[in-house]
Amino acid sequence: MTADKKSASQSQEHKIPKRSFLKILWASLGFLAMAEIFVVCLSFFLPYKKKSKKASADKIITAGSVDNFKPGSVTAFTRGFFYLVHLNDGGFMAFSSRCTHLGCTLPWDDTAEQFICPCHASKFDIRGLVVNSPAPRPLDILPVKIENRMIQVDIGHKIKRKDFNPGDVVYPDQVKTGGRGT
Amino acid sequence: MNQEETGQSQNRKNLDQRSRNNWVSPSNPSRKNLSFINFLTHLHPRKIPGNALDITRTFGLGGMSLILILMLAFSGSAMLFFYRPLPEFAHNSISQFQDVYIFGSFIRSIHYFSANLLVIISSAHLFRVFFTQSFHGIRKFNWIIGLTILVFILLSCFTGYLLPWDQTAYWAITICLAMFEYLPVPMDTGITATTLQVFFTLHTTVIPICFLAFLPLHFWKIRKAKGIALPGRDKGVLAKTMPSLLLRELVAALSIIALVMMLSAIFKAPLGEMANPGLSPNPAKAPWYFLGFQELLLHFHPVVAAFLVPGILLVLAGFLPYKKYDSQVPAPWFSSKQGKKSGIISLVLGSLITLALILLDDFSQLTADITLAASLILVFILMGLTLVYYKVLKKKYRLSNNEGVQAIVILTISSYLTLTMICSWFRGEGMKLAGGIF
Repeated sequence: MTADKKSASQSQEHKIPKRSFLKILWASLGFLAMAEIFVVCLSFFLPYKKKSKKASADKIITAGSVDNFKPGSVTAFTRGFFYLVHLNDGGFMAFSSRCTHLGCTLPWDDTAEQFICPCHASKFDIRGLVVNSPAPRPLDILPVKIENRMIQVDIGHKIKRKDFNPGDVVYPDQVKTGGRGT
Repeated sequence: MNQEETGQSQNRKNLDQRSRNNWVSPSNPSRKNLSFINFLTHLHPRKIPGNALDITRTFGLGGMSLILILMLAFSGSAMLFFYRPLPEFAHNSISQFQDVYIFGSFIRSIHYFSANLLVIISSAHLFRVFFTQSFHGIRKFNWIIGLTILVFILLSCFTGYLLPWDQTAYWAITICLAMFEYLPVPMDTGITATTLQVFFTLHTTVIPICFLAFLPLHFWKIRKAKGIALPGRDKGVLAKTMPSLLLRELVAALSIIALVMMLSAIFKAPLGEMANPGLSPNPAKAPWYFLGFQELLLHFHPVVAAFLVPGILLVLAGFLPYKKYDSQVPAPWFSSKQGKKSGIISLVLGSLITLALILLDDFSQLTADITLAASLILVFILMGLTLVYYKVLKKKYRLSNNEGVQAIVILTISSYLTLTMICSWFRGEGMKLAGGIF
C-alpha cells in the first residue's frame, strides 16, 4: 500500500516538469511559426533579381562626350540623382547625390569646392571623401564606363565605400572599365 | 404567489406587447425599440459602480481616442475617392480636392487635426492608465494590447505623413528611412514611387485592418475586467449605464468632435510645395512625435538614437505591468502624497537635466563624431544613474515600488518632452540651436 502511494506521488512529481516542458515546446514552435510568417511577408516585397537586358538598360545613363566636361568640373544630373566629376588629372567619377548621413540631397558649392549638406552641415571634397562630419562614410560611387569617348553611368548599382581607391577613377583612354562595380 | 400567477398570465396575454419592446425594464415598461441606443446599451453592462461615473478618474480619454479613430476612418474614406498614390499626381490630387471640391479643405483638416490629436490623446490615455495603477491583475495583457494599438497609431501617422508628397513629407520620411541604412542589412532607402504605393496600402488597408482586430479586443478585455479600474473597496452605489454613463460618454464624444470641427473650420491643413528630390530643405525635420528621437540623433550614434533607445523604451513599457509590485490594486491618481511629490521632483529634474545635457553638449561638442561603442557606454551610464536615482528617491520619500517606478516613468516622459520641444522650437538651419522658432 505505502509502496503504491510512494510511486503515485513520484509519478505526480514527474508530471509537472513534463507539462511545462511541453508548454515551452509549444511556445517555441509558435514563436518559430510567427518568425517564419514575418520573414515570408517581408520577402513578399522583394522581387526576384532577374537580370533582363531591358531592366539593366534602363539604369544606364549616357552623360555625354568626354569633351563636354571641363577638367575640375562637377556636373549635376538631377534625373539620375548623381554628380559627374571630371578630376584635374583627367579621370571621371560619378557620385550619388545623397548625403551618407541621413539622405539629404547635396548641393555643390563652387566657391568652397565642396559638397555641403543643408541638413547637418556634412562636407565632402571633389573626390567624395568626408571633410566634415556627421557623415559616416564617403559618397557612394556609381560605375562609370567610357566607350568611344562617351561616358555612361550605371545608376542601378550604388557602391558604398570606406575610403578612396585609385581604381574608382575612370580615364578616357583606359582599356578596361574602372571601379569596383564592373 | 399572487405576483407569480399574474406574472405568468401577463406573460401569455401580453406576448405581443412584450416582443415589440426590446428594452423593457420594470422602471420603463413603455420603452420603445431604439436600435442605436440598444446597440450601445448591449455593449455596456446594465449597471456600473457609481464611482466609475467620476470624470476625473479617466477624463474619457480612451473613448475620445476611439472617436478620433472613427473620424479618421470617415474623413480618410472620403479622401480615398480623390487621392492618387503616384508621385506625379499625389500632390495635385490633394490640392485639387482642397480647393475645388466642397468641404474638401474641411475634410482634410478633420483628418489632419484628428491624427495629431490622436497621438496626444492616446498617449494621455496611456499615462492615465499607468498613473491610476489600472494595469494589475487581469488587466496586464490589455496593457500590451493597448501598447500595440499605440504602435499602430504611430505607424499610421508615419505612413500617412508621406502621402501629400510635398517637401515636408518627402524629406521627413527620407531622413526617417535613412536610419535603416545604419543597420547591418544591405538596403537602399531612397523614396521611390514604390515607397509611396507601399505606404499608401499600409495606411489605407493594412493598418486599418489591424485596428479592426485590436480595438474590439481591447474593449472586450475591459468588459471582462468589469469596467474601469477603481480604487478602494467601496466603489459607490450602483448606477444605471443608461442614462448615467452613456450620457457622460456622449458629452466626452461631442466635446472632442466639437474641438476637431472648430479647428478644421478655422485652420487649413498644411500642404507645402510639391516634393523636389533635388532640393533638401534646411533644416529637414521628422514628424513632431519623432522629434525627441531626432534630438537624440544629434547626441548619439544613429543606431542608438533611432533603434536602441526607442526599442528599450518600448520593451520596458511592455514590462511595466509585470514587475512584482508592492501594491497590485488600482489607486487614486499618482497613488499618494509622496507619489505626487516624488512625481513633481522627477518632472522638474527630468526636464532640467535633459536641457543641461543638451546645452553642455552643444557647447563642448563632446558627442560630435560619436562612435557606436561610445554611444552605448553613454546610454548605459545614463540608465545606471537612473537606477541610482530610483533607489535614492525611494529611500528618501519612503515610496512603494509602484511610486518609485512611477517617478522614473515621469522622469522619462519629461525628458522626452524636453527633447521634443528643443528639437521642434529651438533648432534651425543645420539643426543648430537657435533662439526660438515659433
